[in-house]
Amino acid sequence: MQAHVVDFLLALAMLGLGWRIVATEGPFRAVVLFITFGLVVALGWVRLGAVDVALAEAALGSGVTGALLLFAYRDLERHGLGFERARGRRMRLVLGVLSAGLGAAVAAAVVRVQSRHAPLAEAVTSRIDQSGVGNPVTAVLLNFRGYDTLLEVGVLLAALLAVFALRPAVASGGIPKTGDPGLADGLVRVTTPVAIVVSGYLVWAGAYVPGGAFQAGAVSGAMLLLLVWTGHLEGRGFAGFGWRALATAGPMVFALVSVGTIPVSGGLLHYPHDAAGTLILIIELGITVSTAATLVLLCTGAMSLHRRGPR
Amino acid sequence: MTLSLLYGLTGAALVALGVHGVILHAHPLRRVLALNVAGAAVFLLLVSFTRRDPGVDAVPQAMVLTGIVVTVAATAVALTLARCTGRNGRDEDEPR
Repeated sequence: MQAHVVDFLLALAMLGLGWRIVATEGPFRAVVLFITFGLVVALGWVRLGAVDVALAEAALGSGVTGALLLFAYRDLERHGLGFERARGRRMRLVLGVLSAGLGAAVAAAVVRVQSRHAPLAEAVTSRIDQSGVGNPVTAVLLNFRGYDTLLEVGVLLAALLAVFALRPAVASGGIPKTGDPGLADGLVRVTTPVAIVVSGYLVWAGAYVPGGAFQAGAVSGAMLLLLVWTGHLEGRGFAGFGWRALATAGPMVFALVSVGTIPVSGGLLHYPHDAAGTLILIIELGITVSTAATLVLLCTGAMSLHRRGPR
Repeated sequence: MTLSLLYGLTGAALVALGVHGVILHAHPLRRVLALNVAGAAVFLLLVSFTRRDPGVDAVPQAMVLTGIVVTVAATAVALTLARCTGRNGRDEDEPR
């Protein structure tokens, strides 16, 4: 497909924002630019036809990462950590030349591989009927290459464990919330039910059209974070058993299903054909819950969230 | 110009920008940001390498999806580490 004028504008916006993220003054502005960058990249994914990726980029790459960065920014600023360092002119020149060289080398590679044949697409299309779902990306994620995804939820869990372990060393001043919620409070009353519906839809529809467990989990997680920011929920103490159970639900369900089907199908992560669709949905529901819980815990530094009582 | 070539070349330029930023900055937040820019660029490259009409190959799409989730997890750990090490490593690292 030939590039449309929209694509050139998106590419320019990506380059411009990427440049400003690296070159702008001060970390706060860079964080805000990065969130915008993520959304522009998500539009680029839509143009490339990768809608599943676009959803993940908008929800995780831009949204949740943005929240993580803002939490970290506040903490670093409050404790006077992190400083900018001016590099010498000669150093900057050398660095500029080297980076330009790297960019040119990668660009040459991009031009070279354009005409190569991509055989995996045909392999996926020809076997999609056996996968139990209709969306090829979900079929690859949870059936054909389910092992990758099993390890992926393992990585999320490992990251959470690292944050648990580091928690005593981080002097966190609690979770930031807006002083006067004002408009945000009204907004949250509208977005919370919408987020619940969207999250459920993404999981359910992910079997046939773009969507899926990670995107749905990110939407639910973001909803919880908004409730924290507007003061409806508050963080108190270390995440207890309930939160840990939610965070491990996905890996547990996934592992149980993959081991439990061995006697029937004869191999790890081989689902019986007629039950594949149902099993994938069960795994996806587990991953959704644990992705939401894990992302919230990662953002809040493993704090337990409670309904805010009357003061 | 085809879509995959355009976004591939954009990815190439962004990889360079991201790596540049990682080396240029001392502020941990700026480094994590630059690394995330480079990461997004690598994902663009991966899809541009494999995109053929009529659409995107599902396998690289799934890999990029996995990659985005792993990036978020790694970013969370990096930022938590920055909050710890910043506190201890400040004295040696601070410019005089």
